[in-house]
Amino acid sequence: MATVVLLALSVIIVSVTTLALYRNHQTEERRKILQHLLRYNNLVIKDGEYQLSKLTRVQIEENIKQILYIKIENGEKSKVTRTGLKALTSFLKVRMLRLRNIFLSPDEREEWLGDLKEVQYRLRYIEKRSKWVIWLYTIDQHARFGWSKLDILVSNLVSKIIGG
Amino acid sequence: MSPKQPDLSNTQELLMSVIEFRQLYGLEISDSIEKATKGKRKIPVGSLYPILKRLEARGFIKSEWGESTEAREGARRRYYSLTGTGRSVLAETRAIRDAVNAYSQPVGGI
Repeated sequence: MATVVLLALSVIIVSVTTLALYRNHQTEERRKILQHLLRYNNLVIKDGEYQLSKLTRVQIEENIKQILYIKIENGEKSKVTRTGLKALTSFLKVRMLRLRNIFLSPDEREEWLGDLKEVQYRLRYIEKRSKWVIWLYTIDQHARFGWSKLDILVSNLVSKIIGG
Repeated sequence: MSPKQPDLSNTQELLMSVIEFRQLYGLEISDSIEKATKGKRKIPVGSLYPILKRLEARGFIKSEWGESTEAREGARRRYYSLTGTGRSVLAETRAIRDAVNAYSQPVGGI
């Protein structure tokens, strides 16, 4: 009886600890995403709560309308405005960030993204390269990193299958 | 896989050679290879980390967190160096390559 109680207690303690650690990790993730969103003015703090900024929301809605319009009225001149495009870019950026965070561990993110930011800083402020060059570099590095991860995943899978 | 049977790729050997006597972080490793080879070999940052992780998993290199800078927006650098196993694997890989090179030298001016 005592063993069963002890076992049950251990299971509860392990579950609670795991849950607490998971929640803590999630909070940290949330904090980083919020920092990013605030930096790019996608979020505002209203009544102590984080909210999607009105401007961003309007821009996204407007942009979606325009994209739909272009899709329907094929052959018409492009109606995507600069602000609309900017809003869509930042909207996609947030989605991409979330997607990226699924595939990267916090350590990988800190190390790899830190180095990436350092290169971006060097390109932007020391070598005075254009935004376009920096953007292309960033996309290229993401693609390479993603490809390497996929390669590792596939080779691990293949070696597991072969190894039985 | 036994560390007595090194099967380092060229890129892995380059990476390990660069950190043989110095502790370097990812970007420095990539830059050092480019500088040392005068731009003939480049390992983009995006491809570098998976290779480093593989080498670390095999026990050939080790890493530790370092400082953060403003340019990195608070992210810390991760410094890599060779382990004892890595050092002997690197030496063995070089010895094998040298032996093969010596064997394949032209004999008698043919």
